[in-house]
Amino acid sequence: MLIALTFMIIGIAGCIAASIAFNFILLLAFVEITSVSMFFILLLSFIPAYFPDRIKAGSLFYCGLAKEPYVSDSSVYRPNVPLLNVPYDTNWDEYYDKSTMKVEKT
Amino acid sequence: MTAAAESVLTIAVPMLIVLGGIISPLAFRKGKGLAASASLFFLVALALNSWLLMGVQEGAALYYPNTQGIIFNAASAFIVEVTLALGFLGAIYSYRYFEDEKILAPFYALYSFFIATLVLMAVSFNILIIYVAFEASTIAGGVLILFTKRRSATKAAVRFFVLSVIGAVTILVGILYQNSLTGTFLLDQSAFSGVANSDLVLLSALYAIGFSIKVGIFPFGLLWLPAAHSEAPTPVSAILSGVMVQIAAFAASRIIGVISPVSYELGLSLVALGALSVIVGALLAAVEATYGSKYSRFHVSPVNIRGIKRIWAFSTSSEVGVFYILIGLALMAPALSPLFFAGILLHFLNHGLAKALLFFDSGFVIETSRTADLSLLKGLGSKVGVNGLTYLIGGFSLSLIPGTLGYNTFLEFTRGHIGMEITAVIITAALFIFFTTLYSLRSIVAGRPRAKVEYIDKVHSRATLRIPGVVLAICIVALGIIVLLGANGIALEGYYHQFEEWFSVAARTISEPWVGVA
Repeated sequence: MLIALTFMIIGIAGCIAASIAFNFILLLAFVEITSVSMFFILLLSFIPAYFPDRIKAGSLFYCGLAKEPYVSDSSVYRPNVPLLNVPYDTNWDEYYDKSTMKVEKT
Repeated sequence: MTAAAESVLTIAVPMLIVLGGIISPLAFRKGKGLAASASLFFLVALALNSWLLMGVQEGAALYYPNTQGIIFNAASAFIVEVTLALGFLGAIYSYRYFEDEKILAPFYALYSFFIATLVLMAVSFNILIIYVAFEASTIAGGVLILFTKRRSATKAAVRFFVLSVIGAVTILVGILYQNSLTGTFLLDQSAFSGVANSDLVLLSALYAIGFSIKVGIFPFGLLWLPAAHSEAPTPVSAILSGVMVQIAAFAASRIIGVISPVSYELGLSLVALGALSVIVGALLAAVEATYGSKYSRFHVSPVNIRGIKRIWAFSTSSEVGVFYILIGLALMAPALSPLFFAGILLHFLNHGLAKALLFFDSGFVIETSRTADLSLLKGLGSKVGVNGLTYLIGGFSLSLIPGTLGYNTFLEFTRGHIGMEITAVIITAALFIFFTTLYSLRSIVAGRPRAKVEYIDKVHSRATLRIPGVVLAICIVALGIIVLLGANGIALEGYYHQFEEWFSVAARTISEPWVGVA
């Protein structure tokens, strides 16, 4: 994260310097450095939010003695699909449509 | 025709498609009208491109130069033709693919934009325009993958995005290096004539590595390709596999062809990379078909499956290796490079049609059976119908079987000037794919599923999802028969030789835009 932040600051400073010097090539290079580092910062901060580890929620309380009524795995926050802003299609989570077929794996 | 009109024609096709993507969602709210309108724009663009393509006469190249390096010559027109044809079929297919009609408006807008960026990549002789189109196609492609609405699709899109950006940065370093060497962004052979060979080799290597990520060459391809191709909605998978990775390979061949460094070692490295991709990809496709993602790996979901689309994603990773082998061979034997470049165009045609067909048919099977897992798919039999046959035709074409277009690829690699080692690699991969096709079809139509499967809701079979597969199978067989009969001197020799001659002219225009022009 720190490395990406450093690159981003260098990139932004470079963009300003290149614009003042009217150097199109350098400007392009710094724009790319900035955008790539911003992209990585975005990923570093968003991936943990989007893909939380599967936690046995029950084990959080009372040394693992708590049962479902308190909090269950399914009630752990699940974000929407980014950009499209629609909920995940959980019917297809295991690569078959649960609303159409019932599968009992042995 | 005036110069201004000619310049407009060079970008008319991508502009038309983008326009279609904007106008259709604004003019139509319902799925039917929206799909018809978007497809119509594709059809008009295809007709325009066909008209331009027909302008190519023997010994002459079609070109509309302008100062910015967008040149519409025979090779570009051919690539755009295949792209638009597959894009049109994908647009028809998408209409019934998505259950939620609301999603169609943003989908068609993005899909059209995605195809337009790919077309722009194919017609450009300016590295900056190629780079911008490359980045734009990454953004559009990444978002299109998300339309599946699965968590695993988000992971696949992130992988695709990150790796494409790494590739783009490598290309950007190459662009800056090229500018410092030649002072121009244009891909013009005369600009590179005064540059030292060692610099040209380094520049070509940078571009080759940068593009190899997007092309899906071993090892980079395995990281994103199976995930993205299998998680994306089927029409997008078909375009990603049948067009996008191939256009990236085409762009790489154009750039390296223009730079044309003299380096046996660089050529050998590219051949080695390509050969590794060919073998590893085909092997993993066979492993996926028989044992599933538990052993083939590179899966984005904790649930292991025998993914029908994953098989063809691994196969794509294998087939794109052929492009790098051909580029490498062109560097190793510069005198024969027109021949290898003709091979690139022929492989583009064969792999593009066959792979799009296989993805369309796989999507049809998934939509019909409501599962993407081969181990649950067994026993579809009668439901598959004619698409079982088209699926086989697609697989056989990739397996280089005579009577399909793949036989042409087989001819390319059995000619005297290509070493036995390369031929052996290609034949081995073809055998793997042959086995995979037969095995996966057997899994689809015969036997009982491994788990207890019970349908609790009625499954609708959608007829429009069958059409693209059938159309592509007819094209593959028709062209395959011309090649089979013509190449062996049985019949249709005239057509075959015309076919060959046209490709040899078009192949030279990949890296020499002005070839054959008086």
